[in-house]
Amino acid sequence: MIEIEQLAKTYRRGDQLVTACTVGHLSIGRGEQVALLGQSGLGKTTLLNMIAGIVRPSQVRKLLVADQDLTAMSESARDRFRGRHVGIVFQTFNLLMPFDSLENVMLGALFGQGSNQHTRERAEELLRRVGLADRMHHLPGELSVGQVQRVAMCRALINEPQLILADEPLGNQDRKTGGEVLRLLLEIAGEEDCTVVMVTHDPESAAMMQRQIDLADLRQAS
Amino acid sequence: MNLFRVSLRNLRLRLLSTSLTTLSIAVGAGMVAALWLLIAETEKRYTTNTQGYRAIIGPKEGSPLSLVLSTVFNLGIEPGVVPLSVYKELHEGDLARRLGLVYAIPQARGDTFGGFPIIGTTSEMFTEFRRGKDEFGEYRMLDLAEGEAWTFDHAEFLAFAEHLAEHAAEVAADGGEHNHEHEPLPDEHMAAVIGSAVADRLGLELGSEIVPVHGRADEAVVAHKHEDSACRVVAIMAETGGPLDRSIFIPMDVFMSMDKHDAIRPGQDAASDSVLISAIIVEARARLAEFHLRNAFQTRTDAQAASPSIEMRQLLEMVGDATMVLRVTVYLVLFVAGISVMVALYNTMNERRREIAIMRSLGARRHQILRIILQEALLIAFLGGGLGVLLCHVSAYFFAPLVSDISGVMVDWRAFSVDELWLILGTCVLGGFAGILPAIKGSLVEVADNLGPVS
Repeated sequence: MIEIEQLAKTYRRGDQLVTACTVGHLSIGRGEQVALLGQSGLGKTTLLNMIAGIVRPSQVRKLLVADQDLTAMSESARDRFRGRHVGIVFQTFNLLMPFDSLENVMLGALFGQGSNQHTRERAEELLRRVGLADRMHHLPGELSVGQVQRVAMCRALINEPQLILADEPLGNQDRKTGGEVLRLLLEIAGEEDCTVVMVTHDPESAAMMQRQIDLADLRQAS
Repeated sequence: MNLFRVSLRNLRLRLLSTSLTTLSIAVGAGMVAALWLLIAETEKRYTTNTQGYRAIIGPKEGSPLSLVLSTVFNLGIEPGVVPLSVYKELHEGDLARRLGLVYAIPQARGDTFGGFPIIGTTSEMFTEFRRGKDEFGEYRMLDLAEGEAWTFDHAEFLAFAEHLAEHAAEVAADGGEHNHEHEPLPDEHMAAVIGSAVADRLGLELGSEIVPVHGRADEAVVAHKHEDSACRVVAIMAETGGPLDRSIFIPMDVFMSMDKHDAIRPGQDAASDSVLISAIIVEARARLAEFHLRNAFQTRTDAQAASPSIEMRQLLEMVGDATMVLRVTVYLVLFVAGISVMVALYNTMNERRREIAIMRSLGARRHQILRIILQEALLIAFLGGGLGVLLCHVSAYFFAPLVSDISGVMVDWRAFSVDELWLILGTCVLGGFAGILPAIKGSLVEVADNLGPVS
């Protein structure tokens, strides 16, 4: 699902080049559920952004995601690819305020495979599955943190993506609530043979994944 | 879910800002629509209301335009008087035959009641005068909504003129001063036919009494009241939508018998030809009759012929030039409103960077972000344009009487025009241009920089 070789992202800060992220080699198989660990500042979010096609690497030998070479794609093609094949769950969930739960999920479809009756039915089904059947038309401000997290999760799953990238998806929730939602995400991803890459600092969440990778080890591999 | 809905929701989220910018567009568009409406209604009124007045024969003093404005639109003061000999010539002379005269109706003006002009005339005004044709090609007469018009026709008028001449001759022979001690007029002549606006505004009905005031309304405080010439309202005219609604017609003999109305001025021949009237309304069958009349009267010293259609066309051309400044001003207001849309949207782009970044992270392409923001500008402009047109007509509904009082133009608030659709379309184009800069700024938002915390 993901093949990375000799990837680096550097930024220019004044006269200096700052390395934000370095990966020597990383390979993640289809349907695999992987926790990405490491200290703050190692570039875990930057790596996710490069895998999502949001950020272009400064140097790279290979960056294949779902058999697609992201380095050869234009920005617009990467946007289209991300919308269609990648679901993202953010640390702050990033729901859009003017839209209710169902519409937030449907936004994922709008910019992904396209909004239609089928995607609407899937959005409703996902929301029902995560226990939000009676919250479909509530605005984000009317939901609890746990409910917001579940809406964000449904939005990531709406396009039946091949890959889900989750950046600290438990946010500031208590472990019990967050853990339940994560278990649900992994369950649905497993059913749909969807690869999950999750950045986390929480050992218990990491333990729920099939494999744990420390980004520091990937740097050494370079 | 579609991009249009996304735009709508974004506007709803910033309801106050959206409302204010929409309102600014509405004010601009409303001003343009109001100006257009006023100009169109003015042109329409000044064109349709001249129907039935192929030419106006009036005094040589004053311009043809002032003669037309006074006779057709009740505006300004009467330029002077014209001798009855001219009126007779139009009825009996060779000129009348050549023109194929349909009617030549006399008018005497100078008095008012409640600010509305009192016009002395003959009953041909109700039996012969034609206000153009209706949609079925039938001539529109001066219809009455209530009551029955008084009777005092052409023949009676001529007879009365002879009587005035004889009276003047007697006075001259006695060496006495000119006076107005005529034989009392029949009761049925002390009658008035009033326009619908006169009835509405003054609360008059059949049987109400009208006491003519010598002079214009604004001089009424010091003006003389013709208490002896009070007339009963015997009929109310059906609404015409023009100056006739603001007119009061009384028989010519009543008008001429009032004191201070010197039908024959002292020192003039005591002949009926010397009786003075204000104007003569002429309709003729001959093509280009108005030009023939103008030529016929060009070299004369006792009267001139004015063509209302020609005078009004020239006036409207002049007014058109004058309104250019006004047009430029209101277009500028609309343009500034467009700029306000741009500024309002542009300013929200900073606070919307995160929202845009989230949409981009979900797969939105830059052109889709561009389209969402452009749609927001277009929606504001469309709503503003529509609201502006609506505002214009609602204002017309409430302010039409005021405009009518000031300018004599009755603005019809229901007069929607195709141009208003073009105005809304134009406002949308303006909105589209106003949205370009904010849309470009929004589409250039960097996703990674605006998504939030990093690990």
